[in-house]
Amino acid sequence: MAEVELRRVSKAYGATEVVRDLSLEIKDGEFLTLLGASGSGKTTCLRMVAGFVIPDSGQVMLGGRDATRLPAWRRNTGMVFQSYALFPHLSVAENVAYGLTVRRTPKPEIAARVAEVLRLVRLEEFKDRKPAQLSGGQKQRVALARAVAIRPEVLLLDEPLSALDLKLRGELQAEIRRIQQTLGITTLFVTHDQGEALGISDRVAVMREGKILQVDTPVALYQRPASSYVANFVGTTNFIDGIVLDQNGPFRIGHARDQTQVFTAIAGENGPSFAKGEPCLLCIRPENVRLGAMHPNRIEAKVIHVTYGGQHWVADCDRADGGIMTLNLPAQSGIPKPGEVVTLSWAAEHGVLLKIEDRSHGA
Amino acid sequence: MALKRAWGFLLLPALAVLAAAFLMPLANLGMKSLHLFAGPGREQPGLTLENYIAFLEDPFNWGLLGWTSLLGLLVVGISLVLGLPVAYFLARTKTRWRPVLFLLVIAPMLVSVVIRNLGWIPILSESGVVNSLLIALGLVSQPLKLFNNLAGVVIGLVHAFLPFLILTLATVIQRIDPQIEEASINLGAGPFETFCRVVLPLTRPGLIAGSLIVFTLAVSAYTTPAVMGGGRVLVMSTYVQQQIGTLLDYATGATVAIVLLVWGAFLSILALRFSKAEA
Ligand SMILES: Nc1ncnc2c1ncn2[C@@H]1O[C@H](COP(=O)(O)OP(=O)(O)O)[C@@H](O)[C@H]1O
Ligand SMILES: [Mg+2]
Repeated sequence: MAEVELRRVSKAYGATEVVRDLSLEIKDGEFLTLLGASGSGKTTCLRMVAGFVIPDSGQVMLGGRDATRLPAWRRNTGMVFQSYALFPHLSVAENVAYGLTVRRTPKPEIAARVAEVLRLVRLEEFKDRKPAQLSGGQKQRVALARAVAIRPEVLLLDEPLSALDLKLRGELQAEIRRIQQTLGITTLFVTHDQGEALGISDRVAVMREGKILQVDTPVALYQRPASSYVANFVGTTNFIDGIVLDQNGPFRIGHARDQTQVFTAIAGENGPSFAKGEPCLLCIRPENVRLGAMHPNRIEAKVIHVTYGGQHWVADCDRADGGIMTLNLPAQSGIPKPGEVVTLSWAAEHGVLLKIEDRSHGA
Repeated sequence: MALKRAWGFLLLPALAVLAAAFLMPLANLGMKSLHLFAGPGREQPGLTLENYIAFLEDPFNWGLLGWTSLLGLLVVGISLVLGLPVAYFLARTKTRWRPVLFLLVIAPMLVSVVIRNLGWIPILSESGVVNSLLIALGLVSQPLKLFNNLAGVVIGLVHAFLPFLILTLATVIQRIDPQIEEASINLGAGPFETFCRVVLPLTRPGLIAGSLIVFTLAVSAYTTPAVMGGGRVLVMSTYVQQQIGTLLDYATGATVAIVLLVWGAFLSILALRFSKAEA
């Protein structure tokens, strides 16, 4: 167990830069998730830590040592693949023992460790089966057991749940977290599923086009996104174009079309600073928007449709400025009819101010 | 179903040709092995198994069978050592020249056996390329005899049958998920250890089938032992030719030929069984 660090790493395949001058630190025992759309370079970063990809420039630090040039088989990382990649010719126990066998660990110690790890993933009674005789979830647990059996410095998981069905995914997510906590193992997890990332991690790094946009705790990431891309990628968001009028405690924002319409808002944590008169983007989460005028920030909108989402209703409304406002309504509450013109409102601390430049990258 | 039957009818001419070209001479050979020798080119009337009994009772024949099989094993062993790395490379390479590489591998199969063997003369003879090189490098002082002897036969047979082995192995290796190898490397096994612990066991069906194919082809080959051995290497196939072609003893020649055929057929069936059971 150790801290892991990528220091200004870059990687290009031909003319395409897949990872660009990226730095990332994972603390000892931390569960960090790389979250990003497909093709954003998550796997490449993970494989740099494992040693399967050598960065063109920059350093990979494992436990404080420079491992950039260390071959993959000398690195002591434990990797879990999306396709499980179990050894089909070996039994479950032999799969789990593999890393210890190649380390020439004494036989009794191997047996003890295999038993211990299989108990951890609750697969003791399957130890003599071949991988072909296991279900998808069981295979993934064997893969996990095999990776942690060598007591790696860092556990690497590349979309380990995406081949499983929804229910199993939830179970295994909890299982991975439990095992990670039990062992206190430094973990780098890769996923494109924001729900998964928020639910399992200590911190989440949002990646886009080979760069990290923001690293934060799930709560901070959701409540204080630093860019519209993050706001959009993590959960659903409403945007309003605005102009900064002044800052006096919270910011005062004028609507871009009609500056007499004024909103109050706060900036994202460690977010950028704003100049007076600067165009900006106001971001409000659907669950913070209320039907009715109970909050100081208000906007008129016409209901398009209301859909039932189980825990709540989801209402999409047309705004006068052409934008759409989505809000969640409690399941027990009365719901507006399509076509109805309503007043929507939200509190100042629920309006997060963002720079305008990357608006085009939203959605 | 009807379509299938129609196709079946289309096969008839080919089947007729095959029957005429292979089954009739084979039946003829089988009949010859059931008559006793009665002087050059003649045979006694009356069917008998005497020839087979005589074959089994003569230690010389057992020696010949054993020796031929040993030669087959040697060819298989050398082919495996040479073929495995090539097959692995062909299966895993991402170069766009792959089709060309495959063509290069099967090139020996496209050349007539006689030409293929004669091509070795300038390479293996006492003043040939190999010997000149070895002497120039100071590795040997006298030229090695690599031709008209066992060495020549082994070289010729390996050259002829290596492509079968490489193609069989490459097909099997291609089906192994490369991530399985990565998993092994990630767990601390170096590339060679990964090859031994993961790739080899998973290639087993191909190893068995490919080895049996090469063995069967090697023990039944005639032209290569005859040409590359310079008439000095006696294996079952050259022995048959000697009996029939030189001594006109059809009975003995046919008997040995049938034994070789049965031995080869037995191994081929075994090969099929293994490749089916493990695929
Ligand atoms: N070995 C490779 N050769 C060429 N391009 C690659 C290679 N590996 C990844 N890429 C490209 O790099 C980009 C990022 O890939 P990857 O790290 O796998 O992204 P992610 O895991 O976020 O989906 C993709 O566009 C992918 O096509
Ligand atoms: Mg990926």
